[in-house]
Amino acid sequence: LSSDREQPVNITADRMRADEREGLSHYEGDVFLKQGSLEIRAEEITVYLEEGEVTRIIAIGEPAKLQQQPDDREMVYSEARRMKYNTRNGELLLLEDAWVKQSGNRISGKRIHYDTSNSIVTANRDTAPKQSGDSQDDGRVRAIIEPKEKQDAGE
Amino acid sequence: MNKLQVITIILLVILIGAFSNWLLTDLDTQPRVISREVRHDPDYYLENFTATSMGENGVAKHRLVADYLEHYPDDDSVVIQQLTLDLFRQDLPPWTAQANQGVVYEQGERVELSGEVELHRPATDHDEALTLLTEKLTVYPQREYAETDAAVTITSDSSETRAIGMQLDVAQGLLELLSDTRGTYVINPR
Repeated sequence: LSSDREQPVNITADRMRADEREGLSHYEGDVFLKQGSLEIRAEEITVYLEEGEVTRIIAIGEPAKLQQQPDDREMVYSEARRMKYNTRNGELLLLEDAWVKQSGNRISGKRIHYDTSNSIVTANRDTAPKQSGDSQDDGRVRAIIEPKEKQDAGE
Repeated sequence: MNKLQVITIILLVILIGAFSNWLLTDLDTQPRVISREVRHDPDYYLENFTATSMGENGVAKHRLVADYLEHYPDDDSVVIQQLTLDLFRQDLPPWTAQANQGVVYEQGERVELSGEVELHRPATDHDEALTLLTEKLTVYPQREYAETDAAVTITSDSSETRAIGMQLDVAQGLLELLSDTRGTYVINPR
């Protein structure tokens, strides 16, 4: 929901380590984050604080899983091995084997930019050098947009 | 003085009389005098004191302020009432422990805090002031380390975290929550 990013962020986990010098809280073990309708499950979530305010959240998983209910459309699902969430402007970066799915449309790529305020996805080519052994995924964006009628028929 | 005051004074006098009477009889009926070494009696006490211990570089490492302290020779323990223990650090604000009671073992190596135990830390450049509440806490002042296996609640202006079990490496500035951790952060979007 567009109101998600004003909601408190709730995180549950087995353990947490707060580093006073770095200003971060690192949650580990069955980590679950919830902010309004936005939910992320991951192995590790690190919360970065500035003057006591959360500014950035990084989720790492094998993969980390996200879901969010947009105001006017069906639930969005996403997976990525790394998620960078800017809690100030609500923008979320999905990195490494990332994909986003919503009502039959699926976008995957190395690097997907997802705006949690209005659930807009923009995927851009991976500018990082092509790692060896990455033959299958050459960083190109793959979007599967199903024709509208087929979607309705499918529902 | 009206009637009520007179009655309360009389009542008070009766009460004090009865109490001191009970005290006397109780003392007399002490069955037998236990030898000094076995008895757990204090051999000295201090009132309203401050004890500061310095690091090698002459900078205060920790400071204990308390209302009352008793030393027990039989197990060489020290019991402190209403204490405040500051644990200082070089480049970070101090952690301050407060509790109704602290029992000191091993010549100050270990202090067991109990009774409304609180840990406070002023704001740092990253984070707000923190307050940690728990029912008991073991502090190792020399090692600059504290831990508990009890439930803890950590609050700041815009966050609250709960867990079971905590370990605090004061010198390193690392606070670990051991299980069943729940954090809530209020967000101020821009």
